[in-house]
Amino acid sequence: MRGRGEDERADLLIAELRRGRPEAGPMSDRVRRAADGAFAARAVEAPVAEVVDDSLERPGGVRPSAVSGPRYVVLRGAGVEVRLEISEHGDERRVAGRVVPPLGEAVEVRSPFGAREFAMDGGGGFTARAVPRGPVRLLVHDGGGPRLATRWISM
Amino acid sequence: MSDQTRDASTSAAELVGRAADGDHAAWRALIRRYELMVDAVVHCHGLAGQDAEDARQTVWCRLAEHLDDIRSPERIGSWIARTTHRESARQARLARRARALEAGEGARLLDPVDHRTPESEFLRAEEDRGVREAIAAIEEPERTVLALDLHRPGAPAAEVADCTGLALEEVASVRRRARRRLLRLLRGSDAVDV
Repeated sequence: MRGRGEDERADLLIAELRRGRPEAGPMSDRVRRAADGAFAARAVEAPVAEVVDDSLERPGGVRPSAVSGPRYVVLRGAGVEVRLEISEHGDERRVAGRVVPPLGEAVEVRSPFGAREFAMDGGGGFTARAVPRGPVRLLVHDGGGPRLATRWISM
Repeated sequence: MSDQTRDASTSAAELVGRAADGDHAAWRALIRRYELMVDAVVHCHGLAGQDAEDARQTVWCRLAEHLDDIRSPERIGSWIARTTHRESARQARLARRARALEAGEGARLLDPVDHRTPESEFLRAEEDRGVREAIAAIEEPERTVLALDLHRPGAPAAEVADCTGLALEEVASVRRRARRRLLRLLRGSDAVDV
């Protein structure tokens, strides 16, 4: 009996929570274009670097006292580390990064809507400005094809 | 009825295979099949506006990236659900960080407490926070079942099964369990399963 009473209360809770909450709907044209852009550019002949550290994921990472500085992300793949320092400027991001060991000449910053290249210095450092918010993927180039690609991360 | 589930899974696996081979129509069909579930999960993490758009975009980018190394294509629905929860939780942290940054920059311009907030809005915000925290504490498949229950009421059991990897006949009992779990987390119920 107790279980049934609980079920009734659970059903009432769901009905109450549904009120005023949005119902799931189809995606916007922009999301559809992003999905198609990612599909068209998905074939990358390079090892993929995965996120191994993200300051956003640390406990207290979004407390006001902890957000005065940039967000730090480290990705690693095929013996190469990509260290990123991401700062927000409205809807744009500034990404200062370092590839360790330095193995390329340029970093391509890819969004689902396009790509731009930024030169890398001899120490593997680069700065990408006016990067759009949302999903971004970085490709490290050394003159030929990409040597390393990061997975997509939302910035 | 279980044949229906099996057919749905087979066709999801077929779509994954064809999309991995570069078939754009299969890619679009895959998206159409799971876009409502993705939207439900994004909503249950309390995301709206541009934050919700960023989370949705990131999920499809991750799927495109992942197409070539999917080990269990027949379970792609539950992979997309897990990825959407992870990306939505990360996006929610990004959104809180952006708000905290704005608050820090504009601290002197803002009242520390907004006394104009009506009680009903405060209660609603508290309820939303409770749901987000409960969703974070609940594991798969209950988590995605709840997201669909809240934001896609009336979703056919076959769709819930396809999105969670559950057998069709398990959907009703998992939904029941998930609702009880949410009740206990939100209301601190002392009731126990009998």
